[in-house]
Amino acid sequence: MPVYAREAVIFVIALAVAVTRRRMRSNKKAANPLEGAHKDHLVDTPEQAFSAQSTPAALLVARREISQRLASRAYRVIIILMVLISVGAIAVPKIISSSGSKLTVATTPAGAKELRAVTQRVEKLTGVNLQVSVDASTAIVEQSIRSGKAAIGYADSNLIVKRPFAPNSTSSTKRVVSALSQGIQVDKILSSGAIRKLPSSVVAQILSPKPIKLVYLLPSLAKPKDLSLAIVGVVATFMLLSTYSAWVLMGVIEEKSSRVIEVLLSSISARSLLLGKMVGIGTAALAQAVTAVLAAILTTLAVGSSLLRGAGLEFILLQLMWLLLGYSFYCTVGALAGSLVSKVEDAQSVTAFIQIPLLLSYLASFAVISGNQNYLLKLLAYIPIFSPFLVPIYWSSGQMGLGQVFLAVAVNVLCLYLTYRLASMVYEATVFSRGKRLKFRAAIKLAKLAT
Amino acid sequence: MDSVLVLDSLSRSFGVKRALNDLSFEVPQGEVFGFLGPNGSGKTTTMRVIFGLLTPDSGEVRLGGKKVTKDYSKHFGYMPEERGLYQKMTVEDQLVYFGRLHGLSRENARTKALHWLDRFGLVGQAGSKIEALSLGNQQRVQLVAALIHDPQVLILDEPFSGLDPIATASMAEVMHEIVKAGKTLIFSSHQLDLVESICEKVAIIKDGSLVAYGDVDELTKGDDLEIELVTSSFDLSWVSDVSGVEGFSENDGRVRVRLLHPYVSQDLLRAALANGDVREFTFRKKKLSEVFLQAVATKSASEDSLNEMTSPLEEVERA
Repeated sequence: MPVYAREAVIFVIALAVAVTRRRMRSNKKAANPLEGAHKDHLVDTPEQAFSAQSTPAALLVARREISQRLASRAYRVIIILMVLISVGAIAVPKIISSSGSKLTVATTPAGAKELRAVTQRVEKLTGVNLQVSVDASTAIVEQSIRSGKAAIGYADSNLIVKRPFAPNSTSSTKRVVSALSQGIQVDKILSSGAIRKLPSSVVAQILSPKPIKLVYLLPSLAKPKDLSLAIVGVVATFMLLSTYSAWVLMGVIEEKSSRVIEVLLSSISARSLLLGKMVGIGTAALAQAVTAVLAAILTTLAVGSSLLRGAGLEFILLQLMWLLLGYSFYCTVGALAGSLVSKVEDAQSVTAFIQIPLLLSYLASFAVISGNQNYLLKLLAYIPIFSPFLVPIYWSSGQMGLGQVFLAVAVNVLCLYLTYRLASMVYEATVFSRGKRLKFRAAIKLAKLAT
Repeated sequence: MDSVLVLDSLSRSFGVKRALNDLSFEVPQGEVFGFLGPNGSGKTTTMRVIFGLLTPDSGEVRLGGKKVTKDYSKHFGYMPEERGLYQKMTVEDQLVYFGRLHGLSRENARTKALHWLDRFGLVGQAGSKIEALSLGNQQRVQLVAALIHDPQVLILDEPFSGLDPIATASMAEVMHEIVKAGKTLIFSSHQLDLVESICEKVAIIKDGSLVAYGDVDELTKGDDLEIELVTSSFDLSWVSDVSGVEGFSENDGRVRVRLLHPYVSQDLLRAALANGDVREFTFRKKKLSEVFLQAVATKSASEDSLNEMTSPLEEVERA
């Protein structure tokens, strides 16, 4: 097994062993602490020293990173902001929609009477205030809808809207259309007087009437099923990946510039240090993201939002998985970029390694959200730089199946492995470099010299 | 005394630059050992090779007769030239962290951290962040970080750098304490008077090669042709009357006399006693700084221009 893959496996096993040992140790208190120190300190052979030390040391590094992040004010501020945004994004639209929104319904003189008869019931049922506007003809009604003066039209016994609704839409327009459709049909049947002669089973059928034909003036846009979730996902992914990859980049540079690295490397290998750093910051990052998601779920339940119905929960879970993959990739790139400089003041010269790909991915995401069907964008979804942004959008809009998502995951994992391998080689080779920023090619040469 | 640490024919290059060139010397156990050299001479590279942070291209380091590999790092404590501490972490958390990285349990690391902090008068600062400490105290914390896992050999790269005279004296005292506790201490410094007063043995390197090595007393021993004397006599004309005296000078009450032959010293002593009270009469020892300058001046000035571990980019480009 390659050393990098083996390191990852050992790390997971060591994590389990460390937890078990910690539990066992907590049960027996050492009578003499100095005796314990002596025992800990002695290492019989180099082989034993390596197996006993290298991976748990990565865990210690990870734990330090986590505790430092948790203690930092920036971390706490970001987590509070994320929770507020999550709660606000769900609760505010719900509160606004349930506190008297208004819709204009355009109709012809012939349809006005039928419409006015059901308006009050529909308002009561949907909580939406309806304003009926009477136009001279069906053509003018359609014009009102196209221009946005009215949201719904009723003419020639048809209900008219601008575009088809998304399947899982919970918009007030859709709810009003549905209520109007039922109300007008029921009124028509009741006004015919025939209902009195019918058996009760038929009456029951009548009370669930066949809906009025719905006319769409324009075709539907190729938007994701839930635009708001996709936008929140893209913005959150961009913010989190920018922040966390910058943490890794600055962490690497700070340790080099402050010479802490020399003290650390006297007791831990460069690869373990890098692995521990990435796992630590990644755990802190994931904790932030999970807190925000939990806040979103709790808010959804509290305000009765339909956000998590249908594909909403799947989308969030998929987004979390891609956030993790994206974090791993971008933080590896951050470590690689950080290895090229040795002074904090030079950090700016390497942040472009992270910021430009992130910005391109951000722009590509909004191109997809706005309905761009370019085939190149679909291909980009398989490239690790873009995948964390594009795959969740394509999947939620039905343009990417489960098989394609798995393929993208496989490509990302492979690229992550290769990038981590490169990053740890460069990190190890440049750990004592001082002076001006290394060019990428020079860093690779150094890594080759070191191996 | 047994040599605890042996450097045997170490060579190491970075690209085309040869940082260490067949470097060999021994460090006795339980002594303060000075490791000297001009900037760029390879001191830091040597220190890194000693405890396995860098691998030599050829040669080896032996500790107690066994070849040192990276896995022997527990036996070494290292303090880099620039302070290697996390500024935002508290003293105690930081020391426990370094101790744990060296394989100590949390409880042991904490016990040892507090023990050394107490010895260095810093136990009251255990909860302070590093950035809140004075430079001297940061230096002490750095030293505790190197000591916490109870290493056999301590390697200190420029431990006095940036310290004021009081902090310097305090650090020197601490170093003596460490050696009293049975540890071997290797340190580099450009403060040669200090090295002379602290060290028992020194090695001087230049361009990665050993140019002087031995006991400080031996290296600074004069050639028996210079006498320093302190006398009550104000009139020093009698000095030049002594046969075999090449010349003399007087500075701040101390008379330095250059002789043509060592045996002239007896004639000089008799003449001094005849002309007043003799308070001091010694063969003059060389200063370590003179030994250093003589040793490093043996090679051409052009070789001095190479800088130690400059930019790896430059090394790669040269390669």
